[in-house]
Amino acid sequence: MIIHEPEILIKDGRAISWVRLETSHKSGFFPENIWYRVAEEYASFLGVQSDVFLVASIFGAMYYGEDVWVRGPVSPRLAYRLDEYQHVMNLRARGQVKRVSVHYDKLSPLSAQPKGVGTTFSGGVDSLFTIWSHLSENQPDPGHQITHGVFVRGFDIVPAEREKYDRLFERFNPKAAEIGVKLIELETNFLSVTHHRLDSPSFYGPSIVSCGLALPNLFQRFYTPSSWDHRFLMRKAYSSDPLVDGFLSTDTMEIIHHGSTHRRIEKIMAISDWDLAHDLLFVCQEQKLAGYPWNCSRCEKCNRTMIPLYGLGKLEKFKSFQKPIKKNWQVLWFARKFSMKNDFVSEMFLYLKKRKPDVIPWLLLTVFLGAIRYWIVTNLPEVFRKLLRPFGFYVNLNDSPTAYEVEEITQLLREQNSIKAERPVSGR
Amino acid sequence: MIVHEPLYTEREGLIEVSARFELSVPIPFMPESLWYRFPMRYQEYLNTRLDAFAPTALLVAMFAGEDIEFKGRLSPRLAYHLQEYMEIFHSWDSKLYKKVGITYGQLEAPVQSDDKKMVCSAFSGGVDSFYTLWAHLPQNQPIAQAQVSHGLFLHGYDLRLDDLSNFDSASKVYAGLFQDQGLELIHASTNAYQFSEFRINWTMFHGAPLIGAALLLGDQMQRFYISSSMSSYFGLFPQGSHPLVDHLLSTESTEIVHFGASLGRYEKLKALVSWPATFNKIRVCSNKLKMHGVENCSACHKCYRTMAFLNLLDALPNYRNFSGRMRPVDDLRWGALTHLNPVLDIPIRDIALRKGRLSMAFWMQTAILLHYIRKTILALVKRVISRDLLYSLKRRIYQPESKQNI
Repeated sequence: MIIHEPEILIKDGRAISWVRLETSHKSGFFPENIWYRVAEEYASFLGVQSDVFLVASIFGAMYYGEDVWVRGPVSPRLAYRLDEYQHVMNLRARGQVKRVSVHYDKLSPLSAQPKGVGTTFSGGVDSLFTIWSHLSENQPDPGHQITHGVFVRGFDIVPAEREKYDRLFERFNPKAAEIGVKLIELETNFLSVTHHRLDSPSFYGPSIVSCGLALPNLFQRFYTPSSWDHRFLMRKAYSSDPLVDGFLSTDTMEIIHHGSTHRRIEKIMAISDWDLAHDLLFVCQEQKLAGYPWNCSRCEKCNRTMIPLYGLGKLEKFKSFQKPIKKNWQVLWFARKFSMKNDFVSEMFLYLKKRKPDVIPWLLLTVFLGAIRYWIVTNLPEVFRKLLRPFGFYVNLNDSPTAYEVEEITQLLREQNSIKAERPVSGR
Repeated sequence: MIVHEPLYTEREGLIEVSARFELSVPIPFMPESLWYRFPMRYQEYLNTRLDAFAPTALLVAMFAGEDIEFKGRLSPRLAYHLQEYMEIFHSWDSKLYKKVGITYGQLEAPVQSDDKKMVCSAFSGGVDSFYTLWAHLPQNQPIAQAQVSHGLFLHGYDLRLDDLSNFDSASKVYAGLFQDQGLELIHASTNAYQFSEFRINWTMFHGAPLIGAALLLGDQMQRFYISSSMSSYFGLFPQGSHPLVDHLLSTESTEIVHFGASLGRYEKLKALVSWPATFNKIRVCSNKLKMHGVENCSACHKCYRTMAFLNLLDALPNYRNFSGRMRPVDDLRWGALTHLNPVLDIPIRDIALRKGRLSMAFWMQTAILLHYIRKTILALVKRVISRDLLYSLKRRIYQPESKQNI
């Protein structure tokens, strides 16, 4: 795989940092380019380092077992640790990705000295907790206080969900400004590299990190909000965790996996008195976003967020839930979408036993019914799934191989590539 | 616990930097101050910041269950990560390491001088540190910024402070080795072990004091490698030096890199046996009373493990600082009477099987079984006696270092 020299293109008030990828594997869709697009006012924060593109495409190369040649400059620190990173990922996902050699044309750190501190922001519990922990009142060192949030289109919100993205941003942006955090809209196709090749939970880590690396002239420090705490991580490893995220730091940007010191329930408790969280918390997994309040209150994630807040007696403060739990028996709604994939419910029991023991019998019943439902749903034969698809079940917006591409940008970059190909070659 | 500002003192031709740990309830035999001593020529490089002392102090405070207050300058980056450092140790062993409150005095980033020279590797002469050194020599490490320029040999880390003769003779050998490679070996010493003696297993404590020695030279040191004793990222086990925690002790000017967790001892030795500089110089012995300089006792668990690997690599004759005696009775002794570590030693049995050395594999397996029997008996004994009684028993049985007030 060749990662060509990065370029920056400014068009229609937007700036695109992009690179052409060449791979010898032609089976299935593989992106011709990787790109990150921001508003033009942030163009100066983009850079021509190849760090971000190397990180974003490394799993593509590892998936195909193709050695990588990087034409643009790469941070020596990243180059040094990338081999270790590959080793760990190869160990964890044995058989799915292989270690490859990476050849660098230029090893040099970024000459700028960025000052910003950022994190990805989606409005969820993890990212709200990360921002809350780094507000000036909770973090004494200014060098660790968050100055910017990056709101990504092309990760949990696919490009086709433009309207949803815009609505969320419209509400997030002024609220973030109130606490002194500048929210940056970032669009990207990085997930095209792994989409339909590698399963997202095991391989999303570099994508999150690359959101920070895409703005090398802005960030000296970038937090990746943790989904799991240390106790959980001792049992199961993920592609984004405190061990591996730091391997992707560069000479000028420290990548910090933040929040695994706290269980999800502890994070919910921490932000439960924060006005901004009352207004903005967005955890809903429903694909449609009708408007505000935007949390459907029926999906799995809505429920596992609402129940601890209900136990804490603070759910009514959170205005973003459409149908908040008001009585103990309403916990039963959780059974409709209960998932056994990730164990968030054991910590819920521990916590509710102390805070609201009268809800425990209902929660036990929920788990019992939910487990039966979960077993049926996950074991339903494909023929029944097909029958249910017209009614909106078993449908994902990101099913298409090109779900993370934006046609307009694909065309634009194709034009750029063909212009370059027509240009006479000088030098090498 | 209050950690006071570090002080400089000249002592017997050495420069000593020490910080007082003021516990509200003093612990018997625990030193009042943590100190590091360096040769006088490093005086200009040493700093009086608390960075070097903070991680060790935090572990002591967690053991004592006392909130900690730092009265001195601390790196903001280090201060930020100390919280995570504490959480991880607590999640590993919540009885030994309790969560405590941390209060910082002055947060101030260390000066990042442009003429930084040192890329340093912790060095003790063992397999891990020899491998780290080898992997970062210019001929093996293409990235110039990662090539090693110095080594740090810390007395009081694996050699007792009162064991000057062994330290002196080993350090002479290793200083020559470094010189031959065009590198410099820094000798230093510390009393850090006395804080953990008989109370906290040294392997659950040792990372912080070692990194502390490097952070004292932080103004000159851009990177410090600490050699991993893990054999794989798969079998990571709680330990004082660990890929999850070491890097948390980095400051704005010194990056701490835990190196070598991706390779087991066999793979490391496989690389080292073709490097003649290691011949007769690998020093792994854990028997502080029976070792002589770089001569290993050849009977303790570490010596025996290393001999077994060298034997499997057919390289034992090149390492005459091991006895090379490996009879079945020695295998059994290894399992029954020493601290055999199954995580690190089961690979010996597996490699022996792969290589068709069935007799060796059989005796190794028997030793591992004996180890489990011994471990169960010891666990039962420890369950019936209190922590204080265990401590006083250990002080009677072994020769304590902390009473000597060196």
